[in-house]
Amino acid sequence: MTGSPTTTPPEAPLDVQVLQTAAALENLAVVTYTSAAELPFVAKGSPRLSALITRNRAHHLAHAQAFNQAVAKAGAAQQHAVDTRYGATVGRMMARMTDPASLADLLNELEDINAQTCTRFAALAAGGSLRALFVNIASVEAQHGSELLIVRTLLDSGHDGQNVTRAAARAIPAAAGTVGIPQAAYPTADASAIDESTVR
Amino acid sequence: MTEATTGTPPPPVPRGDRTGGARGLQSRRSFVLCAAGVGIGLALDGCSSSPPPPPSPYSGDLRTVALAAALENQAVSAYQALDAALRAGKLGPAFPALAAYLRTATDHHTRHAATWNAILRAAHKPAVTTAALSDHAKLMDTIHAASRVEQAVSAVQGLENQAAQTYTAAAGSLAGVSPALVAASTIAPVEAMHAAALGCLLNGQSAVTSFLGTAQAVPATRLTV
Repeated sequence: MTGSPTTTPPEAPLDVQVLQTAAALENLAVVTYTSAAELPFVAKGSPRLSALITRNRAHHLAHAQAFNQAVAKAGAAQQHAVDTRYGATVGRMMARMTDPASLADLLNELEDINAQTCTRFAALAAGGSLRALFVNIASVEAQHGSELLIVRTLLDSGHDGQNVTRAAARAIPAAAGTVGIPQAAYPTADASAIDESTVR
Repeated sequence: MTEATTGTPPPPVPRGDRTGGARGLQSRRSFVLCAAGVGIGLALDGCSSSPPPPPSPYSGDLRTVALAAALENQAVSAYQALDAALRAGKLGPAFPALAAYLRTATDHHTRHAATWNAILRAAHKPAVTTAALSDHAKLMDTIHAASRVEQAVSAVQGLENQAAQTYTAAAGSLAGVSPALVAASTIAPVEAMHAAALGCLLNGQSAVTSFLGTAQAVPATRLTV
């Protein structure tokens, strides 16, 4: 996924900027998961993928609220719009979405951008509670990504069950054991710019 | 996948224990007992023959880093024990996905330990090369005694959750921007992914909640060095 980076002069305090940008990414995730749930191949397809989509959407909604609560506590305007860099691109990709595998890939990409951004912002935020909040949410986004990667692999290999029996679990391909844990340290190279989605 | 959404922002992060921990408390108690014994004229051989252990070389943020290194060493030991049990057939038929997971996760934890220990060495402190934690023997007993794969996996999944939450709490308590903060923020998500992946592989059930929390964060008092 590509997008044109946007930069604006840093007018708001750093904490406010990163919180607003993080909230915008969460808003984008909520909108995308909402659209995903309405896709016919999701509604009538894999129960496992459908359950992930429903649950992850709720998590992102809670994350957006947490970031906006912190913004309000800092006396700044809450961010209710979607991320400006990725919003249009993701919307176009969702409009052309035709299969579960491509959808899982896109959702994982969004989760990864959110997780990398939160990981990066954790080292930029001024206060301890804010740093912990970013690490907390980065970890949950990373977990979403891990599960999406595994479910994608299971779909590819014909394993698609919500409650896997002991025997079925042992038949899962070895690749599923590693696909969900792709790196030893979470990267930040694809983190959003701090002022990517500040409220103007 | 199970629905697990609270929508509640995480509670305030507890600050890490920056005192000498259990070791310091033990020293103070020994001193009090000896002093009382002398005062009432009792022979207290134990006081003189069991000198208190030397003070911990780790304090402040470096105690948190030492704790993290010990947690990583513990995870490596636990995964190696689980892998050995799996290979020996103690936990049932072959489980290729879990076996592959174990190799990769063990490598990750080995690297994490190296990251934390590099911070200690840079501060001219000794590296923590063992699972120097008060609960380690109990954990290993649990893994060695497991007769079903679910029991052993539950134990290591608990370790992953503890580590992720410990580093999340650390991100809130470490002073300023430092290599330790970067390590905590980049390693916590990986431990969380380990925990999530284990759930997916074992039974397809997810225990991922909307916020990670810090209730299972390991206190520095559990560190034994």
